[in-house]
Amino acid sequence: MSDHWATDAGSIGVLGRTQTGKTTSSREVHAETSRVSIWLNRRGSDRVPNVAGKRVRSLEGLESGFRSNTRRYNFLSAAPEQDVVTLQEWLWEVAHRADRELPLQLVVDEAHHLAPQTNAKDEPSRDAVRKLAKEGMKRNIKLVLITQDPVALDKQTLRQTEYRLIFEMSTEAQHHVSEYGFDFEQLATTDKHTGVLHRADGEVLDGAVKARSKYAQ
Amino acid sequence: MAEVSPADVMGDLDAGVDGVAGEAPGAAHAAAEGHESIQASSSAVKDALLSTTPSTRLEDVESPFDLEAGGPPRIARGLMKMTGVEGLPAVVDLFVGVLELYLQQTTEAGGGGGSQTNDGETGPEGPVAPGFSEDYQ
Repeated sequence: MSDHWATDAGSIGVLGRTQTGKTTSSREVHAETSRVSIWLNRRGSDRVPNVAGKRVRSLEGLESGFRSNTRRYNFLSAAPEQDVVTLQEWLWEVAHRADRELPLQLVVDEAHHLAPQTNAKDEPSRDAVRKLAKEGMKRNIKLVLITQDPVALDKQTLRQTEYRLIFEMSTEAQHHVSEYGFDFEQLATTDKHTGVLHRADGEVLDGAVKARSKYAQ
Repeated sequence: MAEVSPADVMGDLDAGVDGVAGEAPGAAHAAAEGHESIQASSSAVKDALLSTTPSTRLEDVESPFDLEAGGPPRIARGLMKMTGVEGLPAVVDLFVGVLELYLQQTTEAGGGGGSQTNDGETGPEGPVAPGFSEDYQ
């Protein structure tokens, strides 16, 4: 996996159908980042069982882990739509206390569930994810958004990401994200479970992003 | 610059939770330190308040029954203990002193035909007014 992919420069959206390598790649980022990384799972859908770290089920568990200097968290949430709101507020407080000197990362799996494309004015989880995408890096909090359904993902959230790593996706999904200028032709030439990393302006930074096999589940 | 760890932040969160938003982390840390010193001083005060160490030795306590030291002097001492003062306030000294002077002069006038006004109603010396014996200072 290239250095571009591992860069800490900004938040990233990881898009692709199931079983295309997006979760494996994200798992590698979660495992190898120098940041304190929290992977927000829905309970019963553990996506990082093979990454050493602390399993928590609540904010209290996170706080306990922080006190013991743990740097990897598998947050198994019973209600991710609610927990992401609490988590965003708590991360803001942590960043404030650390004067933004503690590099943090939040990996949000199934992001289209937490930040759905909707016309609703008040959608707390979506608003929290938007804040993380838009303002997280100002607080040294990197957001990694993973979704297998870019059509269902809040457009404003995706627009706020600095980088987009795309994997194989349906024609409908390709059409939906066409405004971002993704190079689907290059994607079509890549090996299986390989993605193409783009910057926000559409420039391809790495045309062959593939996670190490050890992170495959 | 030392790297910040997760535990560093939790220390600030725990101790400086009442900090005002926007404070610099140094201020929050100082506030945490101040919080600890306030805790230490209040602990010392608490210990002092709850101390049961007697301040007076038993042998220094007066005899509970002493005919020679009792009576009006004991009443006076009782009043002093109740009020927690070692001596009478100055205003009381003045009042008592004026009264003593009056009584002295009244007694002298009654016994030696003094120049003081005499309304003729003289009689035997009355008992010493409570609290005004020579033993009382």
